[in-house]
Amino acid sequence: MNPLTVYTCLAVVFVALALYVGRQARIVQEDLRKSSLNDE
Amino acid sequence: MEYLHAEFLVVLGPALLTAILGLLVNTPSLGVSLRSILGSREHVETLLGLMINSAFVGTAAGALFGYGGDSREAYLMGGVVGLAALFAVTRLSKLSAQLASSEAKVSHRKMAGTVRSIIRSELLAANSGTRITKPGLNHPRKCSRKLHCHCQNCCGTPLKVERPGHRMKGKFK
Repeated sequence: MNPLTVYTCLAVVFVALALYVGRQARIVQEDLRKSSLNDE
Repeated sequence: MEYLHAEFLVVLGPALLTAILGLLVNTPSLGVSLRSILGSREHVETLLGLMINSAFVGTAAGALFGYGGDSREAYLMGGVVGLAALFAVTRLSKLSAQLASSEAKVSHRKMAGTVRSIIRSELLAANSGTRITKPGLNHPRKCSRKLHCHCQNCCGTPLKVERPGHRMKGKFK
C-alpha cells in the first residue's frame, strides 16, 4: 500500500474527527454558558 | 514526473465519505461519551495537547510526502490537517477557559457557603450563650453567684465555679 494513500486516509479521518470534536466542544460551551446565565 | 495522485482518492472516495458522514452525524452514544469527556477540564487539556501534537505531525508528514513524492495532494492534505487542528484547538481552548471560569464560580460559592455556615453557628452559639470555636471555655449563661471572668480568652459570661488562671470580678463566696 502506498504510504501516501495511508497518510491521506489518516489525514481525512483526523480532519473529520477534529471537526466533530470542535463541534461538540462548541455545544458543551453553549450549554455551560446557558447554565451559568441561569444560575446568575 | 508523477505530479498528481488523485486516483487513490477516487478509489477510496466512498469509504472516506462514509467515515466522514459517520463522524459528523450526531450519533447519540458517541456524542454522549465525547460530551462527558469534554465536561472535565483535565480531559479537555489532554485533548488539546493531543490536537496540537497531531497538527504538528500531520502538517510535517504532509510536507514530507509532498516534497518526497512531488505531490500537490500531500501538501494540500497537510494544510487541511493543520487548519482542522487549528479549528479544534481554538474551540477546545475556549471550552477550557469556560470550564475554568465555571469551576472558579463553583469553588467561590462553596467557600461562601462554608463561611455562611460558620457565621450562622457562631451567631447561634452567641445567642445560646455557649462558644463552639473555643472548647474548654464554655460558660453557663446564668450564674447564681454572679461571678464574671474578664480575662482575654473568655467571653465575659458568668462562671459557676472559679477556675485557675481566670481573673474574677467579685467574691466567689
